[in-house]
Amino acid sequence: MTATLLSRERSIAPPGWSRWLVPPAALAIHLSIGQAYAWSVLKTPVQTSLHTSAVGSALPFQVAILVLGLSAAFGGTTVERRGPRWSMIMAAIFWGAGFLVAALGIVAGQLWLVVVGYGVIGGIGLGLGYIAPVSTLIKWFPDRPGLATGLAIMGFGGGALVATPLSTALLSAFGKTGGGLALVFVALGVIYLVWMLLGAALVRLPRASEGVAAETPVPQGGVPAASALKTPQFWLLWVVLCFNVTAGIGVLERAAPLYQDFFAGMSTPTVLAAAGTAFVALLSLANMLGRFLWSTASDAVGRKNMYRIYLGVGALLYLLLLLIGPGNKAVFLIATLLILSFYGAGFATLPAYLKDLFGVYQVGAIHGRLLTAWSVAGVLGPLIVDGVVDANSGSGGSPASHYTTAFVIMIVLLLIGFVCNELIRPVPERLFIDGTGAAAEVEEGVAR
Amino acid sequence: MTDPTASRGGSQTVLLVVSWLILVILPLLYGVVELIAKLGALFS
Repeated sequence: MTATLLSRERSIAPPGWSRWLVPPAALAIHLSIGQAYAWSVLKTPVQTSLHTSAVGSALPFQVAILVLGLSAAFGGTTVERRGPRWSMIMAAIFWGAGFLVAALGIVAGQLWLVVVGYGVIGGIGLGLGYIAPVSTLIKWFPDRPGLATGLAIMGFGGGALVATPLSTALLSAFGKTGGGLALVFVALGVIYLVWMLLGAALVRLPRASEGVAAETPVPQGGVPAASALKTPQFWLLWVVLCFNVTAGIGVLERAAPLYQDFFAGMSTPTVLAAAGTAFVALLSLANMLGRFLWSTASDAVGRKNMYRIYLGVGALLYLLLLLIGPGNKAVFLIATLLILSFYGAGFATLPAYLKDLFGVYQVGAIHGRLLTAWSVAGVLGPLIVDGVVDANSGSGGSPASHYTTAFVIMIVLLLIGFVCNELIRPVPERLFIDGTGAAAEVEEGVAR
Repeated sequence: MTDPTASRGGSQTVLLVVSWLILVILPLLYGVVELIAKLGALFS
């Protein structure tokens, strides 16, 4: 019976169902899993509680992002086959259970259990929860895919905006060590489980036969994920995403120290520390809004043109940061906020770009496989910035000058991404198959 | 006679408002208000 309730067929919308009921369902999932961006709030309490190092307490987050990419890549086809409700419920269970297992790890004083809970179990929830709402929204908004995916993925950027004050309040209420911290994890797990299940209950798939609206029939055809992986378009886009994300992480990952290094000596350390925290919060807002605004603009401007802006203007902004950023607060803020908005927008515009190139048929599965670029960038970005800054910190000069080589590398990566975007051409028609016929083929393949 | 379509439309509007409010707007509003409270330090 459970299988019937969760089946793809049972989540098909009844006639007259408003498509504007689907974005809140998608946002409930993405705002919940976006908590991952606020791991830094829990990092220090975990570090203190488990008597581990800074590297050790970063491990649950790093593993979660790595598993996100892997589960999105390997689970993408299952998400398409089982439908959004099953996928969202699975995402909710894994994400919620991840917190509960991590809480056990804190009580037992075992870091590995926190890594398994938050990183591995929670990471599976992240991957399933990331792709399921996106592919559903694309099917509901074939006329405005940029707006649709921008809305959903905006939630992932905005998740930290909600999770930061929520986690801070819970830490104040329950305590920052031992049993208190474990209770914080339990509370977060339960809150996110309920929030995501409400989203799963609301989600619906459009009726293929009727179309979303009279003027926008739902196209079902496209390129199967297996075939998409063999096209140069997929791998060019993989590089575009990887380098755009790497460039954004360059700012995001060291946000507070970056601000303090660029304005060292201009204020007292206390004021600088408070300003650094405010800067991180402002970046999360830029990250969130960029996802919605730039992705929505892509419906009018075109996907390729938007990536020209993200990569080309992004490279110019890094150059601006290098030349006149240190000591110039206005230039610094405008440049970094735009870079972060492009970082978020790169994620948000991607599914619509994939839909343009490969059609909607298995867009979720193709999207999932492309997110492996994020996993690579998650390692590459911090490696470049931290590695270069650490290597230069003993060489004298102003703190801002320690970033020069790292920012030059970012500019080069963005330019390589720009060239890859230029090389992307439409996918040959012969690779496209009819949605209905292909679906039957896939089902048979699975049965075999 | 009651128009079933109109009744369905009314309940769907309620569902629309409630779902956007509970699942999206109120949580985001909470986050944005807390964020604005922090911003002063950046421009001091």
